[in-house]
Amino acid sequence: MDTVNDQDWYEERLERMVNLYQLPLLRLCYAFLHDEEMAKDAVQETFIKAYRNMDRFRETASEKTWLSRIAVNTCRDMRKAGWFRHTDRSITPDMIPEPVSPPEPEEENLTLAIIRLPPKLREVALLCWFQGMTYSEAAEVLGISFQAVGSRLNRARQKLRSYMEGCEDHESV
Amino acid sequence: MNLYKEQELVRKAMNATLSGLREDPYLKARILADAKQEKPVLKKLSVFAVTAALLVVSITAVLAAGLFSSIGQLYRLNGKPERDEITRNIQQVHERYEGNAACCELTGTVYDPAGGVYALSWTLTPLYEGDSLYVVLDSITMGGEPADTRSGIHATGYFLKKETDCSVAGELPESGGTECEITFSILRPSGEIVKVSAPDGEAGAETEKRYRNMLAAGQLPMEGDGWIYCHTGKGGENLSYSDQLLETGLMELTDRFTLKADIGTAGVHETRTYACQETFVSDGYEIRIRSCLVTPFTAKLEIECMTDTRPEDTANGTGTKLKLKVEVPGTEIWSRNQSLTQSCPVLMEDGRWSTLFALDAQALLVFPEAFRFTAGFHDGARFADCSGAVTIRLTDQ
Repeated sequence: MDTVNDQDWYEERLERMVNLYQLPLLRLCYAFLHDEEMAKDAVQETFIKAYRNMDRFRETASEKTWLSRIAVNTCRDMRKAGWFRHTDRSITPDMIPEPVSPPEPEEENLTLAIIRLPPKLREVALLCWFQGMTYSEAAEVLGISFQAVGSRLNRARQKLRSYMEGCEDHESV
Repeated sequence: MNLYKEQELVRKAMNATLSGLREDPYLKARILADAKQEKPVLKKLSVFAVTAALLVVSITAVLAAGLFSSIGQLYRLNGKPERDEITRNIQQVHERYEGNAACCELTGTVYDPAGGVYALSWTLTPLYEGDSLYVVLDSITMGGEPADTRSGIHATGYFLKKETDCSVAGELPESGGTECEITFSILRPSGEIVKVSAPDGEAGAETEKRYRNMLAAGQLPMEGDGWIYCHTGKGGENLSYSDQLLETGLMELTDRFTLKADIGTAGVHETRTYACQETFVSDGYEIRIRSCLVTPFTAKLEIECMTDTRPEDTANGTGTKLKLKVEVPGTEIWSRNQSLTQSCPVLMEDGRWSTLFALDAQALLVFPEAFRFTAGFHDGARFADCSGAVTIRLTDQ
């Protein structure tokens, strides 16, 4: 394969990945960043980083896991920005883009509870529950141990339980 | 509720609540337009680049071989063919401290974030021949968080006679920081060192009393493993071990120093996933390997255990206790679980109970095509012999 054809192949592959993963990544990034425009920027950045590094991607690994890892790191970088940290990022139901049809109240409460979790717990909750990853995949994405994923997920469960029972306010994000 | 149910519930809730976030054709167009201006990493390498890369690999291998002695010794690899696997994962560092009585040089690190483990090697040398120095490793931190140690060779609690290769391996803290700090105290005894052992039948309190009397008489009681008794009474337990030794008044501090290194600059990122579709039965329990990740230093398994009744309460209400052994067929490589966490048993729709285990086998050190997993259970009264086994095969290179 020559270089020109290589590039065509990369672009076709990128387009296919955008078609497949744009939406789940957008929702994942939104849950991290609480801002639709920032989430779109993060998704764009994620795909461009993936495109730049496509040659390093192992064919047999999960594309979704790989893209999620890039997206999580991109969101982490964006969260580290000084202006992000000094902006009120608390989220209320009316700030969420208007749903196609109104969700059940308990669905809305559960979603808000998850995206209000402290960042470390939110990361594992989103990867394991929303992205459907195994503990090992989430551990690989986050660069933490398998046990840490399990223990964080347990803490996330406890927090959610408290929140859903209305006895505890979540830590600020 | 099991993980699958949780996933279903969360996905349904989030997709419904966030359905206002939709695919954006402009976003797609922006991404594709940006990509056209970018250049992906090209697959082809020139002959020059290949030669240069090979040269770098060769030089690295030669240099790493020098570091191998201590970390390799730690993993008991000397003379074994799998040494190459571990050697290429050792990062060289050259942090050095030269003090009043000893000098220390950090030589190698291993950082395996996927496996959640690290290893460090260093060389300690006394500056004066014949000096009597007692070495205490005070702490290891990563990103400011204390890092647990699992095993070590000449890591702490021994007399330094000559240049010594030392190493330690342990678990990375959850924070994930890569700034490593390792702190040592080098002590010189002024009291007489007396080798001790508790006579058969002597109660612990009597031993302790005897040791205290020795301290009062200016003697430092040293047990068989090189550990010097030093408990100095009320409040002493709040001090570090080296400070407790100093509190006896029978030791003086010659050097206390911290070496720092960023161990994450060349971390281990080589992993393989393994799978086993079949379920198997061990000691009456039905077991399924849900996932298996192997790095050069660990094998991490997620295991689901199905039982007809709620597992016996042998672990603070969290169910049964599992032990495991992993073996590489045709070799002498094997490992037992180093750590274990488990979820609360969950009642399934079919009336059975599901318990999830996260198991961590240290130092598998190879990526075999397959390995053998054997399980056994503590049933509350006895530790059952390993009775069920299954082969887990490589799925992803």
